[in-house]
Amino acid sequence: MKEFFKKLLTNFGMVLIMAFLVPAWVNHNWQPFIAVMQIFLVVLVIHLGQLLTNRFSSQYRFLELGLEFLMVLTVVLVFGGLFNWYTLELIWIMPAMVVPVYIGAYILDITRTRREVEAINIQIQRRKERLMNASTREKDQ
Amino acid sequence: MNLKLTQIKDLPRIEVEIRYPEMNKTVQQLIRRIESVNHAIYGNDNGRQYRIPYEDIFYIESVDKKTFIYTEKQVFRSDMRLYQLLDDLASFEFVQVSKSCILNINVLESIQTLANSRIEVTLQNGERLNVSRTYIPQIKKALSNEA
Repeated sequence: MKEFFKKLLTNFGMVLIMAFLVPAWVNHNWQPFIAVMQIFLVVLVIHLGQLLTNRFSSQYRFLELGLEFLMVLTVVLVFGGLFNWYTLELIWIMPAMVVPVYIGAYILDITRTRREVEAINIQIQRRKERLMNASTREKDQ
Repeated sequence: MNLKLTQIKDLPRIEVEIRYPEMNKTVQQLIRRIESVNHAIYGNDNGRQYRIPYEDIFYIESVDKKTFIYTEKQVFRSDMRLYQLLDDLASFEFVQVSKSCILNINVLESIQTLANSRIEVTLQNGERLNVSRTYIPQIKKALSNEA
């Protein structure tokens, strides 16, 4: 299922880029394609930023989350300002966009982590059983 | 698996020969286990230096740039840095579980997510350690190599 969604989103990304690139090439209107690439750049910077925020660890999880959210919001506001995505009167639109996306991504992350933890527990259990079987066989012989 | 022990009194040192029909994960695990007996870290406890075989180590933790080696019941201080130890231990079933901790996967009892979305491992001696979610794939990989 994980691989299915990975492939689906990768293909969607490629189709999206081509869907904007080809018409831009044909019509000599690069604006929509540039907008898509701007979003891609922001997402890339956020992912690079996460590599840095992941280095910070605190005994309080909310501090880690707060730092990560602050980083995401800062990147969106800075790049949004550079790319003229908003005016100062409508600046609230940026956090209004960031918050639901961040919450969605956080829920996905928790779900994925829980699945991985379950998988690790199964691996530990199998390993224990294997070691137990090996020692039982040894005793029998 | 057949275990055959032979005492030869004039042998200068222990010899281990593993006979196997095909190289598989069990044989590889056996090799790692036997090799780990030959490898040890030196740690201090109350001014005395001890040789700690890899297999006796539960986990190694770095606190305020000081490195501590935890066995089932004892704690030793090491002069080595965590990253130096990780280089040596990586091929002996040790895995990094957080920025400051390396764990022996042989002593891993279970892993659980807590209500505050933190992750914690329980060791065979009942001790609990925090795990960074960024290191979860590494733990999974280490156990996959094992399984």
